[in-house]
Amino acid sequence: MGLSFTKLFETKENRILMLGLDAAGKTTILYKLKQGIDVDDIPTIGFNVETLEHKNMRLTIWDFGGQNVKRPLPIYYYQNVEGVIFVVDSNDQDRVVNARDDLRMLLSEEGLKEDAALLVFANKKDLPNALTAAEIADKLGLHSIRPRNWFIQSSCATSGEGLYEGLDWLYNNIVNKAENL
Amino acid sequence: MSSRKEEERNEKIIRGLMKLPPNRRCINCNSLGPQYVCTNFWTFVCMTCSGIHREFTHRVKSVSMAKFTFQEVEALQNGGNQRAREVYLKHWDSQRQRLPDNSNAEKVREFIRNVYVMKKYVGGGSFDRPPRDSQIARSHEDETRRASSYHSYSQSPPYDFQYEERQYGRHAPVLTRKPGSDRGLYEGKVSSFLSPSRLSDRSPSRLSDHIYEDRFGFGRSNSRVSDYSSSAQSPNFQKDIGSPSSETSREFCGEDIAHNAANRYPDSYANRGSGQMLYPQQLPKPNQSSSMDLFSEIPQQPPAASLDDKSLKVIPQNEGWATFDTPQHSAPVGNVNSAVLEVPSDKNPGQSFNPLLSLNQWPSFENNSSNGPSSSMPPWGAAWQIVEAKPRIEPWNAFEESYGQLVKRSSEQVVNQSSFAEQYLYRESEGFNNGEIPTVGRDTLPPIATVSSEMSLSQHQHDAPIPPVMGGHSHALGPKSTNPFDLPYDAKIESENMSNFWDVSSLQAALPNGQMSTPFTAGANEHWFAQEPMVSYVPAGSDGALGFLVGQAPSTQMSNVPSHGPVASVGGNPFA
Repeated sequence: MGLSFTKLFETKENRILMLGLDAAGKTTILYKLKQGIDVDDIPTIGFNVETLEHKNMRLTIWDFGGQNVKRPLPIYYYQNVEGVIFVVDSNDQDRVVNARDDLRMLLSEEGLKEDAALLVFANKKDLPNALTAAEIADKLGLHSIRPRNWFIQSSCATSGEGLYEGLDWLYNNIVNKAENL
Repeated sequence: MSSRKEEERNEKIIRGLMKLPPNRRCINCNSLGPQYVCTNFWTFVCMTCSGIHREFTHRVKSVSMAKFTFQEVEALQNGGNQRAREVYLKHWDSQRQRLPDNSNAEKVREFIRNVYVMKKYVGGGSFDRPPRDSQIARSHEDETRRASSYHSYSQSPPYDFQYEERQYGRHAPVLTRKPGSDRGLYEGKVSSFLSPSRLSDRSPSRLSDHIYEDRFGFGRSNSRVSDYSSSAQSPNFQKDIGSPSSETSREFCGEDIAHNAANRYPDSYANRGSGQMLYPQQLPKPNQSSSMDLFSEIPQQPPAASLDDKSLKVIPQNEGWATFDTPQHSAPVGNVNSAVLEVPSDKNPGQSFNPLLSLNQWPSFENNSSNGPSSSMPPWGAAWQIVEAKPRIEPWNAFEESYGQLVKRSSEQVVNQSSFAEQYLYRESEGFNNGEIPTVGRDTLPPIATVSSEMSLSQHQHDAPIPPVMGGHSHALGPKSTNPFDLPYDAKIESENMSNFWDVSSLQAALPNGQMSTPFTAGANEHWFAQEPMVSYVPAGSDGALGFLVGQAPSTQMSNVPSHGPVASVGGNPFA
């Protein structure tokens, strides 16, 4: 049983989308996870894709630039997605509302599977004015997202704090899903 | 959410702001072409600096990718690198301190920290400094400058309206205040722009006054002539180019006719040119210059020799205008040799011609054509005297100019109509009121103008008369005759016209040969007048086609064909 699952996960790529407002820290998170480094990042144009191994699971994380709000992503980006990482700048209280709107739109995407898990990083928790994860959850209205599994994790991308906790949850969620099949 | 239009508008404004000198370089590292906006300080920064700004949790937006709200655009208009420099780098001594190079991230980081986080160079307390006065003065200067540059951008897409502002002066502040009203403004402008022509209908006299003034601005006309003269060598050049003159293709004939008309009335052309329409055309275009040269030479040539008694009479009447007309007669003479040759040469450039050029030339052609009747008239004693009456001329002028403003291309046809009207008047003689003439033109004009513009384009492109032209002709009877491109229409012309045509051809042939002997022209005019306005006019336009026939039919006339050429040469240039 366990062996077969590990084999399965080794071979299968799990597509993960990482979205959020611009300057929320998506790319920083991605490269912190991938390479353990801080990148002096410029606003992402298009997207970054990195594949990383986490507990025998191969995660392909698509990090989309937060600024291409102009055009919603084509529907095929949402297809066959196992999980969504939504990154919020918890220090930017003014724009949490915008983040909420974006999240709503994201979750209403047709191409997104019902069982795709939602992981929220309340990023930049190290900053003085950062909201707590609970506050962010409230402001994002996560509690009203019924059918979907969600999890919010406060994090600090530059230090790597909280990132792996979030990733663990995502991993477990995907594994459970596979087991339930 | 903001509509797409507004987004586009915002982006346009930002793009405009980016082109302002202070914003052309990154405020931090002075690198060219910053593509990001730091929305904390409303500065334009380069990519590297944008990344570093983000380290300080400064928000950065990409101009090309991000969506800007109206508030942001406004803030950016009120900000920008210049303003930010005044605030955050006020005490930055650019003489001693250098901006960091963006290849050295660490230095940039330090710089940004010092400037924006620590705010080391922010202006404030130390007012005792000597440079302060100069700085303040500069800041004022900057502000005023900004007021002019930035403010203009404030509500409207900057580049759309810059032009207008230049043309018409600044918009009323009210307008700038309303972001959404841009379109309305623009339309309003357009309408205002167009309005003069409309107004002219109601009050031709007023416009005519302006025109009149222009007309008598000899300085202009002279300068114009000089312009032409500068490139006066054209005939030789044309000779080099074109041999196919022998070809008696219809197209050529048609052009020839046009040319003829142009040759006859070079002065009028020049004078008209003094108006707004022609000026821009003249400036840089070499092709035109070649065509123009002919004209220039013509006026330069001592008209006296060619001037007939009648032409002299004309001069006193309209002064500058008339004088120019007289050169027309002389013009053909000089051109005769080169004219035939010119036609082919014209064609070659014609294909390469830009529509704009064609446009420019067209109006000139129109003018010529319009002048045509008038010029032809002078030999015709009675008609010319009628012309003498200033009121008539004025309305006529008014028409041309107003329409020229409206649509340059259309102006041709308009002119044609006006000329037609004139001819009509001439024929009809004194009975007509001046006011009536313009009215006639007006009624028919609007449709004609549109049609004509299209037609002119098509014609230019093809060089040869095109069937679609027909539609345009149908609109205005007058234009038919004047238009060289009327050939197809001409083909339709009945045999009765042929007779007219023959007459005209003979006249034209005579013109170059006889060097525009007045009696000859007079005879031609008489023919025209004898027939009904419509019919007579048609033959003139049809000259091209008919001319071709003529050339073939009588062997003797063949020699005349080249004579057409000279006339055509002038016309050919505009069409080319």
